[in-house]
Amino acid sequence: MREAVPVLSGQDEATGDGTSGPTFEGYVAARSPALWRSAWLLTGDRHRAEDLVQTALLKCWRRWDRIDPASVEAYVRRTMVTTYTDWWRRRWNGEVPTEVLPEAAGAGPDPGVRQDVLAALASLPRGQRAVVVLRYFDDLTEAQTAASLGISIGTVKSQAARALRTLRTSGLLEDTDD
Amino acid sequence: MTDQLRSLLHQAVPDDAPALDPHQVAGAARRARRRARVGAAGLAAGVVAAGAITTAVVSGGGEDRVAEDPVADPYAAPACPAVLPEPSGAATGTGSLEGLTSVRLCPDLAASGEVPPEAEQRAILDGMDALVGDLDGFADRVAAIEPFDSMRCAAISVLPTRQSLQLSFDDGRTELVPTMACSPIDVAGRGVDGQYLADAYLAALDAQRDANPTTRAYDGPLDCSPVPVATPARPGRERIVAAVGCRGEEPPVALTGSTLGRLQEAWSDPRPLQTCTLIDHGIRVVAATDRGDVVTLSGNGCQTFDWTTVDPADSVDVPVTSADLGLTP
Repeated sequence: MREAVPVLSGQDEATGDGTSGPTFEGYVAARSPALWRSAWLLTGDRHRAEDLVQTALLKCWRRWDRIDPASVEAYVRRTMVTTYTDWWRRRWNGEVPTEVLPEAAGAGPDPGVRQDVLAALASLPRGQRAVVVLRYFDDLTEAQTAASLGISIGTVKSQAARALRTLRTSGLLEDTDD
Repeated sequence: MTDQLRSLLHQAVPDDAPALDPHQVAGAARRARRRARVGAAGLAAGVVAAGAITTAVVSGGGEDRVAEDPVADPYAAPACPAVLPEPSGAATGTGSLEGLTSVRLCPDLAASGEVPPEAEQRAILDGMDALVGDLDGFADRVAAIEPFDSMRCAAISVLPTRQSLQLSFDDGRTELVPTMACSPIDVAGRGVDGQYLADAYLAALDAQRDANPTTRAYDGPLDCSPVPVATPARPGRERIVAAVGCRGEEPPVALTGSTLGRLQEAWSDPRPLQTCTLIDHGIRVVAATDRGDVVTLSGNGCQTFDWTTVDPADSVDVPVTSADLGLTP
């Protein structure tokens, strides 16, 4: 996946004129749980998810004043996904869980579903995995997904189609008309 | 089907998502910024300015935002010498790493026994980036290397090589230290294995490539027997800018246009290694990146390509078929 181009505005920091975006602290308080859930689907691990969200937010902090207020969410998500796809280091490989994850026995419904979903997602290339999470978990439109990932809408469509084919073949999804 | 997927994803995600402490996150970002400024202040004295990129100055009310530090040009560090010393005549150590301004890997281009043509040698050396940022981090990695283990070296055989690290300092000195495996190198009074010095350098360069966007594409010749040069290149980061396909002993075939595009797309989106019957059709791809690397992808039994590294955990599959590249057996 290509390094995303940040959405920046040349305006000075807004000072309460009704068009300013959220403060960094306000955004983190409001959105970090949602970001963590997406990060968990990407990484399959609680602690990696937290690291991923924290790393992305640290990167965004530096440029917070220059982010277009209307695009904060897309910018942060793009940073998170770019960080995730850049994390080709030894400690981030081996993403298919071969043992029952500790959290599988904890809060939440059927741990078997969790394992199946994580295993199926792990079989996808990272780019397709990111599209699946943004389109079908975060419920972004194709245009919003494209903006978040810094790719074209056409690429979102083709990545999604390939991912769905793979997930169907894996047995995670049943063939239906939808 | 997509409704089914939505439902499964929502069922799978744990209910108890943690909420980050926003003040803690902001504080960590400020501390990281301060550490980066301290490291860059030590670098500033020796940075070669040619091609440096300066980012915008920002001042924000109420925040300690300051001018971003200039990005150093990793291709402007002092060049390797024309001739590297033989292992028997090489230095056996260096003093303190204080005052480092750059570190560069000097490859042994004749390690395979054949000296490549002059044009290829120049293209390889001119295209190699050097470590010019976070040199304190490199020094920390070196300090963490285990002491030299003579017992380990007694049990293995080593291919001789003149590959070296060139260290440049702010007082104008440059020093060459060999990185051959099982060569004991004294660094600031500690004996370490030369191979692990090279590993520390490659890890630091890998981190630099994540942080420093400067690129310089390899523009030399490509053939089916590239000179092996250690590189931190990896699928998903560098961009492929040129490539040739290789089948057995046949001459290389240039991959261009949409074929090159398909290769780049797959390179940018790797997947875990695939398990297929091992059939070696002798197909491989030799590619140049936008960071000056020349990399080799090996055809596998799944008809796609493997990117293999020393550590199998880092190896991946590049999901483009040999047929997609016009390289059928």
